[in-house]
Amino acid sequence: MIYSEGAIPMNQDLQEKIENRKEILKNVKEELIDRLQLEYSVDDIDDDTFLFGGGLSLDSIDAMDIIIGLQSRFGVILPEGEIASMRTINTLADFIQAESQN
Amino acid sequence: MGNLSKIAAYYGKDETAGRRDGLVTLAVYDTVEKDYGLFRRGIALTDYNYYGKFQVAGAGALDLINKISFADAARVPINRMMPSYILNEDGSLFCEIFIANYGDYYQILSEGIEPEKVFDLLKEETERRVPDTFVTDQTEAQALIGLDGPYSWELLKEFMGPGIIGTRYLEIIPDNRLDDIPFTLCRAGKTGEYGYVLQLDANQVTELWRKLLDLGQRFDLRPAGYQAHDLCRMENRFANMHHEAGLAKHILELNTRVMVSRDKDDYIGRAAVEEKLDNGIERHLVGMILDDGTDNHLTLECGDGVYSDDDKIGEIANIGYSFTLNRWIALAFLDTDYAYVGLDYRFGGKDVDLGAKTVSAPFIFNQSLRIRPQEDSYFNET
Amino acid sequence: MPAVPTSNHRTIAITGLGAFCPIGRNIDELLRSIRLGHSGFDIIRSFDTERLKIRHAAEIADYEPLDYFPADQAENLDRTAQFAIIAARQAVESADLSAESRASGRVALVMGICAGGQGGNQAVLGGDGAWGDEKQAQRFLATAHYFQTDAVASALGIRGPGITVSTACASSTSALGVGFALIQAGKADVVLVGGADAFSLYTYAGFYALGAMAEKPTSPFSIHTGVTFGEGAGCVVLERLDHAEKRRAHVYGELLGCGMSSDAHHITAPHPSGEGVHRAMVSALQQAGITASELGYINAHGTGTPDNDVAETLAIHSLYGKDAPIPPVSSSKSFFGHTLGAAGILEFIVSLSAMLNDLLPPTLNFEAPRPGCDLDYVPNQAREAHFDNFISTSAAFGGVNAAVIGGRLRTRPRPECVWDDVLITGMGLLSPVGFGPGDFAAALRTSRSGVELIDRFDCGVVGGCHAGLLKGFQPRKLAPTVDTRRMDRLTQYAVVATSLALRDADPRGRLEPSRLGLTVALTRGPVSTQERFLESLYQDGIERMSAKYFPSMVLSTLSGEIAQACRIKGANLTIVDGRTAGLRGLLVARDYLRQNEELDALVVVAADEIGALFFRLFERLGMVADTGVHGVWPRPYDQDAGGVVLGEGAVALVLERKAHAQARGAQAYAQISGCGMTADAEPECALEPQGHGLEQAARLALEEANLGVDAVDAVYGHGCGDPQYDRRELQALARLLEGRAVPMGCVVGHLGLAEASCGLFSVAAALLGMRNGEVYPIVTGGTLPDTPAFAGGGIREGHYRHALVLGSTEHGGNASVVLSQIEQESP
Repeated sequence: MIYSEGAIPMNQDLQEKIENRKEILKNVKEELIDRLQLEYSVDDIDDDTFLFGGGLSLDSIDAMDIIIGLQSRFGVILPEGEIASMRTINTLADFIQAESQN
Repeated sequence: MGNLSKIAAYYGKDETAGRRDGLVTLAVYDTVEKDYGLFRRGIALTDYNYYGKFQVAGAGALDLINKISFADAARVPINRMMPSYILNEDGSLFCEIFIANYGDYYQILSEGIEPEKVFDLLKEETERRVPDTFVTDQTEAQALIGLDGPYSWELLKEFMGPGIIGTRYLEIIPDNRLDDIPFTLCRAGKTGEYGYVLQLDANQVTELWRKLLDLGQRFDLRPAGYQAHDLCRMENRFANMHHEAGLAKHILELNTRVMVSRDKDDYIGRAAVEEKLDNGIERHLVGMILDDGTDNHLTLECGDGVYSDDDKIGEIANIGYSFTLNRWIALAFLDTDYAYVGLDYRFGGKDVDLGAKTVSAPFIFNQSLRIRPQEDSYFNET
Repeated sequence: MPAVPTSNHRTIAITGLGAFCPIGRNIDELLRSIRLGHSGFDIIRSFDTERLKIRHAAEIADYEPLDYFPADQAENLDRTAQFAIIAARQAVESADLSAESRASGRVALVMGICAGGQGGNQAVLGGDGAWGDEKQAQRFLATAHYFQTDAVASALGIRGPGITVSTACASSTSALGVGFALIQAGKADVVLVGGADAFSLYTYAGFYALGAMAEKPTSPFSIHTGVTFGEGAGCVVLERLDHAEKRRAHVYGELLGCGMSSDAHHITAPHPSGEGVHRAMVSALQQAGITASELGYINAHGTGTPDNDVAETLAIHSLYGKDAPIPPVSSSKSFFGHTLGAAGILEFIVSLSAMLNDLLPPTLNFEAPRPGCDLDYVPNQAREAHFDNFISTSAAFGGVNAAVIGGRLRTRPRPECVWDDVLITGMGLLSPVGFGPGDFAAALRTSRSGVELIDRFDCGVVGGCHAGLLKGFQPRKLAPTVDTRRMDRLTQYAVVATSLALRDADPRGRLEPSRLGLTVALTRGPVSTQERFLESLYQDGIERMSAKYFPSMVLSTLSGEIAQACRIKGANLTIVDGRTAGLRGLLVARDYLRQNEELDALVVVAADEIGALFFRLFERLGMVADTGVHGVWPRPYDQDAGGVVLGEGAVALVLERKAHAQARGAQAYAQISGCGMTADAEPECALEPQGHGLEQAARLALEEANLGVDAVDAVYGHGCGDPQYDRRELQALARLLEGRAVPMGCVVGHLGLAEASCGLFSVAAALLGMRNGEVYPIVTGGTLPDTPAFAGGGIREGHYRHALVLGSTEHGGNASVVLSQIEQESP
């Protein structure tokens, strides 16, 4: 902690949200590492790492695999045209969270 | 003082028009919003001459570059570029670079600091550690201009042929010509739209600029300044030394973790990088969107605090108005414990109290993603 | 005795045709269907698709093998081989090519096979990966691409060179190019060029997973996208015109030229502007000596996928520019679907037959053009038109493109082309005894063996099994600029070897990509990918299996990955053959490069991967030595060896035209001064036990090199512990060398038997030996026969000006090459 002195603890509600989010992010990273045979470990991948273009530099075949992985591990179906959800690890996690709420 | 960009000179501008890395160049051509519109919906012509340009040749070239580069330059294939950084010993940023492999030699393009400083560093490293290397400063001799925008490829097609649409991101195509002007093309851009950089002899840059404007007329091609460009970079989360990256205390705060190579030999800043890899970073850059209903004339500044309840958890590193979202957006360094997306925090500062939500990168959806160059055209946009 | 070709290409006539496909069981029926617009699509019958979205294909309805073959062949020959033989028989009959002629060694066979045999569809592995049923194991082995070609050679007694081309969808188009080159090189007077593939469950499953198939029968260039598959075979007889005229053969038309290229862009999607297809078309036109305006019809690849049809349209636009009129274009896949290995040849035959009948074949199922497709696709109805020339194009996974031009026989002379000698200027080696020429040579010198216990999988034998495996292979260290993340093991081997070879030949990366070609030589292909694909298919079923294994199952993908990683954009060919396939690849590449001045250089790479699937198969069939009984080490030429010890690895050699190599000051290892290829073509693909065919291959190579047998300073063979095979080789050598004590080397003992690569490992050893003045001693766990030839014991030092390398496949496909030191030109 470099901003607060740590004097005020995080409120419960916020804490839960963050823990929940961390869990999803970890699972997404694990799934990608596993399914796409990435050379990284979970800690090596920032949440805002881009999937295509720079960042992980994946391509269209990886994209298909990601769709399968989302269905298989998280039970969510990402339609093929839904590129907005496949920009970064964070956007994948957003999609999964949104779908699980429905 | 300050060098004058040939393009700025062409428009008869002086340093009041803008300056970047010691070069006088236009911050805005029309209005920020109009310039921005070119990047996001059409084609923008950009002056990239503030980049430092250095040729590195000789048997020790790769070795030298890897001693100064954060990322592993050995991985760049011929006719490709790779983004990287030069760090300071404490792990903060010295400058941004691209490393280009031309087979016979490498080229470094730098941004974020005056080119002379980069050249000094390169010379020093050469003398000290890698004698079998020859570094040439091409900053004045070579020019760089950019074509960015969802239809930039279509303008290039006019004089480069249809094959250009298959160029991969960061791929280099040498040996091109527009009439009698030879140039090297690279597909590189920091806006998230299709983007290309043309490199050529500086003596011909004004001529090429004019020819492109001419050819680009039917595409409504116009020049755009670095202010709109910076806004695009922010929206697409391309780290910017002139803004938030310059305020980073450590490279790993900037979502650059995947660029780290642990089996590289020593490079400037390695110890600082390894230290944070082992012990963790303390703060992290996160994107934020300000709650709706805020005033256009925002009084927030970089350095203003970010709060969770009454606890200060971070500080603002960049602010801008997104013309696509029609909202104010910001980048902030947040305590790692709080640096997650989907959370509501507040900004505080002098006379300020605003709500904001942390959001995933990137801020916007790029029009280029919906375009298939083999089928689409600027002239039948739906 | 064949004349050595000079500078003009000869006219290649087409003197025979045969077709067996869903819209016709012979040429007449085929033409009739084209004229009337009758397609061959129906609900799939060979497996159940009731719960699946894709239900159609073009299968050959009511095919009864007993109508065409006696009972034992009907039972044992794979469906693909059967189709191939039927079409070849028709072609041979229509060309009136006698049995003697076919056995003369001057008639060659080139087949394009993509999916391979179909017998694997019924393959069922036990839960522990064991092959319970020997018959099933045999059947699976017989699905190999080269088995189909060898079956045709055997059935028709074709003893000239036999080549299997497997560039996926472009296989039989490329095969026409290979056949063309063979005749020009004087290696044959007549070439049967065919293509075949039976409808394959694996292809269907793979494309299903990729989501690329159409829910109704395919409609290329029209609004509904997607591919539909078919099956069948085609065959044409190519013949040098003067040869045809001499025997008064009927001439149907002429094969004017072929062009091949590589996108080097993406492993499944074509370059979006059709840039690679365009280059192949330009190259074909150049070879044909005609302009695009002389083409009256374009038979497109036209698979119906969104990426292909637009890219192809753009390629055609590029060919014609803004103002020139574009001829009609149509896709025959709208009739019989995508017939994979047969596609190129069937589409060529459709074009030729239509042309001879003044007809334009239509594109069926055409409703309205899709965005980006704006040409005259001859929608739905055939039209009358008189034209003299046509072009047929194909584009395969991995960005491999081929185009062929056919036409009416014309009288004007062919354009000249510049021939040149071929040197070897670069070498990349990944072997069980070391990486790179230095380590390899050192290991050979010290008689080190790379055979060790297999820990990669459980081979199912108590006490374990042994093989020559690569050790400490780190692709990132050897080739840092290549991203090998998604590459399977075989691909990594091949890519890294190619990268090393190119760096050896051209450290500064100056070779121009569009003038650099590639030939890949394989035997089993990517083993671990096939394992994972089959596992995924049987565990997850068609609807849920992952898409990612299928592209790598397609052999052209491997060549595409190499092309992308190493920036190779010229002609791209994949040759598949049995044991010593690499040697055949080398010969095909060399003959191609000699006569193609549009290339400066060409990389030949052979690769093998040891994996459970085939290891256990060979083991089950008794082909592998029992190390408990025979010991760990391979025993080349030992009649008590009891089987082979397998090996893996990859070898890449850079071949370069001499003038180009000398102009850039390249350091060459040697010159390829002669090649020879023959086939035993015995019944049931057996080996002719005395090795006369192998001896003849060596003699042809020496003849081309203009050398007598006494000029041979060293010989490299491929004894491997297969007693019949080894004995045969020794007999051939004994007759060839007539008792001369020529030092003989064989590296199979050091490396194990890497089926495809061993042919090039021997060449590498020969080259390094010539450079260093050595023949490396044979390593064996057994005893060598007394034949004075063997370099046993120690290194034989000497001056080796000419080395002879020879080898055969298990089916008696023989190949031999003479390597010669280069005369030092005075400065």
